[in-house]
Amino acid sequence: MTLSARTRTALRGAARFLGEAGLVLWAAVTLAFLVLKAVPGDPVDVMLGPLSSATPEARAMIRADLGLDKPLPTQYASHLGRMVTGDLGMSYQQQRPVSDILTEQLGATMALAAAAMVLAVVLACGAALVTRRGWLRGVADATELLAVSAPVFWTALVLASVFSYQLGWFPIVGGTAAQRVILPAIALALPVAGVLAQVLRHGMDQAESQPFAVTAMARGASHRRLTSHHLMRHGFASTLTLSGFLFGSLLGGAVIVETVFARPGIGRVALGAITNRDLPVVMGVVVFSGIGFLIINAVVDVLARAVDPRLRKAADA
Amino acid sequence: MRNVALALAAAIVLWLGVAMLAPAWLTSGDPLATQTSAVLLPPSAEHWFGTDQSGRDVYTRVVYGARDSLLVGLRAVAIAMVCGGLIGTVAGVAPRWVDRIVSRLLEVTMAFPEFLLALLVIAVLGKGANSVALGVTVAIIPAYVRLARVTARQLRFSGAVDAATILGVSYPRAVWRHVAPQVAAGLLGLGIVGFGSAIVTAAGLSFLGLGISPPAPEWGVMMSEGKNQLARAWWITFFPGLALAATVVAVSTLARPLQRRLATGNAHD
Amino acid sequence: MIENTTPGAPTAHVADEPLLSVTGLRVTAGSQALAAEVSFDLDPGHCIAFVGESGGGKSLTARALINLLPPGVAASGQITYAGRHLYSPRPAPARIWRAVRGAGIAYIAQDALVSLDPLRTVGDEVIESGLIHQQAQQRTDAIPLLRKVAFPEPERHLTHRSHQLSGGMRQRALIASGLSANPRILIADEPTTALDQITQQRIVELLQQIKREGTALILVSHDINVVRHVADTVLVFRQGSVVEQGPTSTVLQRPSSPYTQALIDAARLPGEPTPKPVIDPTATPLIRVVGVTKTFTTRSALTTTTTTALDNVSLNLHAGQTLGVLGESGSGKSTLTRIILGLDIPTAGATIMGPSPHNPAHRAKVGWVPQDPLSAMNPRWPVARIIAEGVNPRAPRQVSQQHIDSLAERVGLSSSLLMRRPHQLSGGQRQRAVIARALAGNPDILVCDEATSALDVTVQARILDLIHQVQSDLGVAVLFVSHDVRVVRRIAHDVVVMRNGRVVEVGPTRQVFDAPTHPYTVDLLRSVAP
Repeated sequence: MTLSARTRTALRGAARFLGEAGLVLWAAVTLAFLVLKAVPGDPVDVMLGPLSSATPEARAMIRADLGLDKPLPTQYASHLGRMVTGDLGMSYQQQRPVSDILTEQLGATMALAAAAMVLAVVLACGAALVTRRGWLRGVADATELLAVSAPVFWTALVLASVFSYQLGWFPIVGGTAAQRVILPAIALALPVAGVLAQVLRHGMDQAESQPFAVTAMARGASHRRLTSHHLMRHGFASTLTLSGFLFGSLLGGAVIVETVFARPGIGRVALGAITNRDLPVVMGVVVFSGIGFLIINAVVDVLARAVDPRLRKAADA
Repeated sequence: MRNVALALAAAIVLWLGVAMLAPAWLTSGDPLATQTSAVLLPPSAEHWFGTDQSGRDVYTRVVYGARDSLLVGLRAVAIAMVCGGLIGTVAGVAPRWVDRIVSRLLEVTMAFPEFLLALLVIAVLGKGANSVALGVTVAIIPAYVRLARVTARQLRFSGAVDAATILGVSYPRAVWRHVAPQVAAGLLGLGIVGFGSAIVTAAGLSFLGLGISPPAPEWGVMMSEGKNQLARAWWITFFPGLALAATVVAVSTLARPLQRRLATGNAHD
Repeated sequence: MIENTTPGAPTAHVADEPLLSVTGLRVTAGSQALAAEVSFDLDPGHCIAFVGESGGGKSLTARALINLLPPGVAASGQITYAGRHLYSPRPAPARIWRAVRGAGIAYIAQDALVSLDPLRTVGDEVIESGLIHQQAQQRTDAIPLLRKVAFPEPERHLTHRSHQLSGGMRQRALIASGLSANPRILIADEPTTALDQITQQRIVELLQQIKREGTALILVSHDINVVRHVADTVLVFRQGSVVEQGPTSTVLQRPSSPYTQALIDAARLPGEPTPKPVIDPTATPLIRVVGVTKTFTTRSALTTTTTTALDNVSLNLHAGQTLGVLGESGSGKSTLTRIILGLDIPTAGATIMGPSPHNPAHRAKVGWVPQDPLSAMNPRWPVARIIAEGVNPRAPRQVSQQHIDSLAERVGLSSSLLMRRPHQLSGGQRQRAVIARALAGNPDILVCDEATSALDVTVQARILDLIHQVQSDLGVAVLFVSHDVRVVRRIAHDVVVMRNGRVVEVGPTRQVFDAPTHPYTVDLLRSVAP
């Protein structure tokens, strides 16, 4: 079989991605299984809740129904099998398929995360480009440190206190969808923007200290040209290593922000499931998290290769 | 300017230390004492941070809350440094196939953010202070393994281990001598910064009602209790959160010069 | 163009005035003078060279000429370029500099690998200066420039990035980028340093050609042999001042300063290689390398690639002998070194250590002098303990201070340095420290892996003298691995020339250097001929 080098590279990239995706999904599903098995006590008790008065016969039937009377490897195999077909099980609490519950809530969380992401990128780029030198730089450094350090639930509460209760600009209840998303998105965006701005500026500073920046200036380039034609690209390239951090901040932050602002979404469902020990829903969140991570990773990977061609070579080696 | 920031950060850390060990030195009040005549008072000379819905003094509760709020982070970081350091170092200096397995596992943990891992532990063990402590610890370990592995691997292929091997030093001894101290210094640096994010995670879990239960004066719990009073009394949530943010800022400010010193292992540079 | 205000063009240029005139240029960092009282004139088609060791102030002087100094460093003096005042004595406003840089005075920075923006294409980098000064429009305008500097297949490489090019190609692209706005002066800072000798030779030829076409050159180099071939005038820098200045032939043939003499001596091919000691051919060699092959396999999802680093290499090292292993990067000499040191296992063949001459019951012992001493020392240890590890590898802290002092003295390392950490030492001192550590274990063989490559020439000469001294005092055998023809010729009794993992030539140093038989060796030697 003769393939062009380009096709081979593309195939290799696809194989790598599929391999990683399979690994992550397998890990998510296995983790979910382990969580289910690690819970102390009888899962049927957990499922029925402490107030249930089911007879031992009924319990045995449920157990057989769920396959809990079979040996562990068999249970694991059937668990894997169900996951592969997209069956995440039934919620103990709501008696509805987990996949339905989660897909219903996905839109709200995605809208929040997307709004936060856009906001964070705008804030970070603005801060990094405007405040490269002088006294503004000191102000930006301090602001970013605060944004990165302040807990999301605190900024969320402070924002709600000032803008919802004191000023009444963004009511917690009522208002348009856009009005309702603004404060949660800001709360979620601030720490992300802080880290992005720090990394972006650091990347640009690093690039500026490299000999190629001196070379560009020696060609007669102005500072503006140096920034726009050389440094910015390096700054962006350095932010693309942050995909894991971004994903974690957005997902972890969503749990908190959705609770503070009483918004629907995956985070709120996850919290409810953990509080009520609705394990199938918890497992579903784990699997969704794995898929979400894979998607973000793939997008960032494509972006990174577009910005930094050295990565293409490194991935082929 | 830089020195002012460092001095301020050191003062905050000192204050926190006293609050953890001897809170009575900083306040004469009782964090649990309710006072029905002083409910929801705004900050004043008498109640610096105001009072909450049961008339408890918020300042006193912030002081007494330092221990529960910070200890969980200290413990988590200490355990993660030891466990993560061991696993990572072993992976870094072990034959290639061991390293490959560990690094694959590490890659996979990236898909499950710290906060989600902590939530999973709580889902398994149920709510409570111990679940939160264990959850935070489990959640942060991968970062420590990752750092220890990378550092150990780099040093493994730097000349110092090779030089010792040529001189006839056994491989484990060469690793102990030339790799372990550097890895430990790196972990300590990460630990200082990681302490900040660990206490924020722990407080976040308490805030969500998954950890210590009220009326314990833990900062996250205080904020959770105060969030229902947000319309009338902002100070109940504001000050515990400020204490948390100030702790993280102070620790990060002190971390930078400390990390630089740790990197070379001596002070006279 | 509306109005010709390009300062690169001669405006009030009087015919007999020099193109560039520098008087009393000073470069300072705070109150410290980094270069003082530099004065010279430069005419079109001429080349002036700044020579000296690193830290001498030559690079900073060059960068002062385009007013691009590192933060905290400032320059003052009188500089006139084509009738315009660039310094008088403060630098001219930024607007003037932007017009002069690139179009009037172009500058090629030291290391081509990091001087081309790694995220931009070769074509974009080459024409940037032309774009800024309106002498180029599109990426394809780079093709004639690249062709001019003999860059191979410019069309194909136009959209490549610097990491996809070889060292020589990067240097050519960088020179092309310097030429793209037709500058009247080209400053080249160490243009040959990171390159292998054959490529160096070609870059020298290119510089000569640029000079012939009427561009004035300022060449910054520590390499006397490059300077000799290109420069008309030489300024010798040492510790921030010009110790000697004059026509190249005069300065290099009759230097008035002992420092210049030392630089010349260090660069000269020694006339007589070290006489070969008498070696008993029947004695068992200390090291026998027999048919060693080493292959590396990289596996990926779809393909398996095997590269051969060493291909059936054999050599012998006898007691008292210095064997030079000469080869460029990629020749396999590093892999061979690692196998001899026991750090790597050959895929086929073997290295056999003979009995130690001092103690025939034991096998010969090896001491290692690494290429990068800094990374080969524990950064947290003081130098004393690093040396002590060589004496007693099991318990370095138990070695007596006297013992360490005597080892330090033998390698010329002042005992006041022994409590310092490695990063607090200079390059030469670090090299002495690792030599002391290697000698501490009383080795029979010293393996020097590019041991002098990172050093300035005069320091290099002193370290070579030290190795030579150690050998005659202690009678150790030396395996000297290097890419540097001059160094190998200076120190080795016998030489092995390697290329692409194979031994292409082997023999007594004198014979190999006087009458090379393999065409590769011939090329290699021609590139350093004086």
